[in-house]
Amino acid sequence: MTQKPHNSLNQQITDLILDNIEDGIFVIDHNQQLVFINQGGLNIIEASTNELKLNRPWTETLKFVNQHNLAVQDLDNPLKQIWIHQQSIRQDAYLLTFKDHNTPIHLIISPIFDNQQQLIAVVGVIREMSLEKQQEQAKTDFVSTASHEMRTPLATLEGYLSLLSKQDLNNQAKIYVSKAHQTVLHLGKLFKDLLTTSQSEDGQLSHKPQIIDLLDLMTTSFNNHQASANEKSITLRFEKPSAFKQGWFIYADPKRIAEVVDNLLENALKYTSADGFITLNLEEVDDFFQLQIKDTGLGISQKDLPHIFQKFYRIDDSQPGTGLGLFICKKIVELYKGAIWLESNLDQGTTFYVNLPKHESG
Amino acid sequence: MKKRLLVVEDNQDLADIYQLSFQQAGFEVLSVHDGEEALKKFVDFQPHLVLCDIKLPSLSGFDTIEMMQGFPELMKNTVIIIISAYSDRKLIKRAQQLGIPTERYLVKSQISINQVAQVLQGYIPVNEASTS
Repeated sequence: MTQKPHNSLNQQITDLILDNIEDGIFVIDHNQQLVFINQGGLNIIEASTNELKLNRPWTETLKFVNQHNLAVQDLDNPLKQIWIHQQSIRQDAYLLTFKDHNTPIHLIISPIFDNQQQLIAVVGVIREMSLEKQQEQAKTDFVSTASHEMRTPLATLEGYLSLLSKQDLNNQAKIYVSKAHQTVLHLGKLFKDLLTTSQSEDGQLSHKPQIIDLLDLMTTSFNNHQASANEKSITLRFEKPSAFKQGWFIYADPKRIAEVVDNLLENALKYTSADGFITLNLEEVDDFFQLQIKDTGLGISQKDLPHIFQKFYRIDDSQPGTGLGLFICKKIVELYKGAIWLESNLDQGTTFYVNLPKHESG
Repeated sequence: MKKRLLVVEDNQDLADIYQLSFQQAGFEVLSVHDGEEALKKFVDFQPHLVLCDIKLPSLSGFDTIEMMQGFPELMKNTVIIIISAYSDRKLIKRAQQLGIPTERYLVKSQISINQVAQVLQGYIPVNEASTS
């Protein structure tokens, strides 16, 4: 075997790093075999060098389980999913160590492609979840539980107000009940947004990404908002793009993307007056698909522009809203490595832009 | 013919609200407070629709639904809709595994009672068309 000329100092440094860092690093080849794992990795899974099984299926060494030591299903196993979706995955997980301990980890796995864009290996980093992280997890669980506890009384309140509104009431009473009812519905939306916001800040935004057709999704959202637009005498247009051969596919959770498009459309409808126009566009821009939502509405002042994506930032209280919509949109878009920004001028209108990475299949 | 709705909800206030609201919406409503009662009444009442909570005193909503699905003849004419205060992805997945899609997994406080009535009215069980 001919020795490739190499810088032996670089090699020493690389070995030094791999042998000494606490994080686990491993490599799996396309035959699903574990071809490398460093000392940090061995320590995390509590395996001695003798117990190490290199060039054997990785499932014999890296055992993904849930908190209760039950093996996770393939659909939930990131190391199985990455071969299908061929995109980096970073998530929390649990491993069953060689000493049968359940250990929470943070996992980052990345695909390695050859010159022909074929997926030939996966490299992974595993980090033990520190006490800090476990406390964060506990806080997330608390927010989650609290939100759930609050839903029942809120649903009860809404239900009784709904029944009350159908009773024989005098006009004044009807008005009071209607206002109370609207407020409760608003509260429900606020709880929902708060939960989403809390989850997104902890990196816990629940989502189930899959290959979706962005054009389909935008068309559905567009159709769903036609009625509202007609009611307000606003012209809502969708300038359908010319056919894109490979299809407008992205890899994301359809519900989350729909949330973004709906939110932007609802904002446009809120801030555009009668006889105004709202136009949707979908374009291909390099490695991204770009959505544009342009309105001829009130516009946003230069003073407000830098704050527009902040939590609870409201320009004014004239319109109903939770102040969290755009914050959530930004979190969702960034989750999928996209970008969201806007251009606006007071009294002339606003255009929102959303870039989402194309999903390249095969 | 009035459509029959079986409500499975242990919270007394919500059970009352569902009973009144959905009666007003034109359903014949039978309300039970736990899974065992639901199963007992299921066979006699033969509901067109079942509105089921997940967190119930002994038998969980999921277990109750699974046992109802053990009556395939009855299930042919029945649509099950879940309504819960929990929206965890794991639970939604479990519902999907039982054949209940996300459109039939309603989250309390995120949907108004009028909207629930509309959802219920929107479901015509598969064999209804042929028997009416």
